[in-house]
Amino acid sequence: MLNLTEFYYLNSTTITFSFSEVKTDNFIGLFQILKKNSKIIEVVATDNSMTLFLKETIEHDKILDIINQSINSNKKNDNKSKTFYLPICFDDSFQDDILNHYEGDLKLTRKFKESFLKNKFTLEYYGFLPGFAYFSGLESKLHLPRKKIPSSKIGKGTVAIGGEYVGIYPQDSPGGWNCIGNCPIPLVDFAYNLKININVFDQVIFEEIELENYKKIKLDYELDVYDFKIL
Amino acid sequence: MIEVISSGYFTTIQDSGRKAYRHLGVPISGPMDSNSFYLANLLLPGLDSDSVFECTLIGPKLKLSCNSRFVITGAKFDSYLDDEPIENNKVYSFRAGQILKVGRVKAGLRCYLKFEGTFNIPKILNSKSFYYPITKSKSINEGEKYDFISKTLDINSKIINLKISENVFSKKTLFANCGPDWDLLTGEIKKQITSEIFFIKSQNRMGYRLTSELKNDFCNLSSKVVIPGIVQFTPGGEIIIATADCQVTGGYLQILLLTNDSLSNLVQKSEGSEVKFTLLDN
Repeated sequence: MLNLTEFYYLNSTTITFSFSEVKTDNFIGLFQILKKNSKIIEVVATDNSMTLFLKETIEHDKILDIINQSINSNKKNDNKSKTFYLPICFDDSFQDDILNHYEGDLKLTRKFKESFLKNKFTLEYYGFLPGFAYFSGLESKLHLPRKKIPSSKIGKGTVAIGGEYVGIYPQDSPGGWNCIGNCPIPLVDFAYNLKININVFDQVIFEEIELENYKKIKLDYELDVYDFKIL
Repeated sequence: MIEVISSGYFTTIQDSGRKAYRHLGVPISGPMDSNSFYLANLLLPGLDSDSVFECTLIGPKLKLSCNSRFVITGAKFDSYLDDEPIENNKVYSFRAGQILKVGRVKAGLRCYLKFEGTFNIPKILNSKSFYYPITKSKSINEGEKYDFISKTLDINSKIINLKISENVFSKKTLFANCGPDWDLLTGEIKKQITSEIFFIKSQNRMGYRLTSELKNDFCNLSSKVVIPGIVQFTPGGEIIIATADCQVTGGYLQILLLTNDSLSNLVQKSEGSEVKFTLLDN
C-alpha cells in the first residue's frame, strides 16, 4: 500500500504529494490512473513525489478521494509499460567522460561500458530540458557524481550518467553529467507533430551499435522508416 | 502585417503558455510579468491567450501595414508612434504605414505590446510562446514579417486610460510563502534569508540568480516539480528564483514561493537591483 506522507499546495491548483516509499508498482499504477482523470491537466512524477496540475480548485477532501479511489481501482494494475532496446554508439567521435574518468585506460573504460550494457533502466520522468529523460536502474558501481564544473556543450543524443541516473540530452546543452555514448533517436520528438517514442515507466536496455549503423538509424528515423526494437 | 525594422534587445512573442507538457520536460513559458500581460489583455479585450510582444531592455521598431489599435503595459519604455510619444496603459489607434518605435527602458525591465488581435503564427504544443528549440526562434529578428489577425470589434469604443504608479518596479520587498523545504532550514538561516538584502547577480527568462554568502548542507535532494516563483537554495549558497522558462523539475531546496504580484515585481528588476524577502503569515 502506498503511504502518503505530505501534501504541499504550490498554488490553489498545483499540489505535490510525497511517498515514504519509492516507485513501487502502486506508484506507477496511481500515476497512470490519475493521468486519465478529467479534472487533472497533467501529472508529473519525480523521485518520490507526484504533482497534480488541476483544471480548477478542488477541495482538499475531494483530492484525497480522487487519490484514494485511484489507489483502490489500481488493484488490477494495468501497467502497460514496454521494454525497448535503444541503440547506443561508443565511437571515438562522441564525447567520452568514462575514458577521462579512467585517465585514458581503454581496458577499464571498455569494462565499464560492458557493465552499463547489462543494466535495465526505467524512464522515471522527463525534466531539465524538453525530452530529457531520467532513467533509474544504474547499478551502484557505475554511479558517477555530477561534474563540479559543467561542460559548456554536451551534444544532442549524448547518453550520460549523473549520480545514480542515466539521461539522454535531447539537444545541445551545457551540462554536468558524464558522457558515455550517443543515441541516434529522440525519445520525444517535438520536431513535427508531438511524438512520444518512450513513455514514463517504460524500460530500456542499451544495445551497442557501430558508427555506420548509427548513421543509418539516424537517417531511417528521419525518413520515418525506423522501427523501435521492443522486447 | 507587422514588419520588424529592428528587433530590439530581446523581443519574444508570448501567449499564456504551454500548460500540459511539463511531464515531457517542457517549460510553461508565457509572460514573465503575468500581471502586466493580463493588464494588456484587459485594456484591449480579446482572448486571454492572445499573443503579445514581450520586450526587454530595448524594444523593437515596427512598421505597421494595417489599421488597428495597440497598448503597452509593464515597464516604461521611451516609445513613439511616428513622432508621438506613447504612454503606458493607454490604447492607441494606428493606421497602415505608421512606425512604432519601442525605445529604451526608463523604469522596469519588460513591457508588453499588445495589438488588438493575435499573431498568425503556428501553435507548437498548443502555444505561440517562443521557447527555443521547441519553437524555431529564440526572439524576433530584423526583417521578419508577422501576419496579424486583427480582431477589432468596436473601433469607436471609449479609450481606457489607467494610471499605475511607476515606482511599483522599485519596491525591494518580495512577499513569499514558505516553500516545501523551508522547515529543513536552521533558524539562523531562516532569519538571514528574511532579513538580509540580496542583489540580483544575473537574470533571464529561466530565472533570477541572487548573490548570497549563505550555505546549506543539503547536496542530493530528490527532484521535485518547480513552478515560476519558487525560490531555490543551492548547496553553493546561491539563491535562484524560477521564472517563466524555468526547468520543470529540480533537486535544489525549495525554500520559498513568491506571490504572483511579487513575481511580477521581481521580473521588472535588472542586474544589481536589491531585493528582500518578507514571509507572509499563513
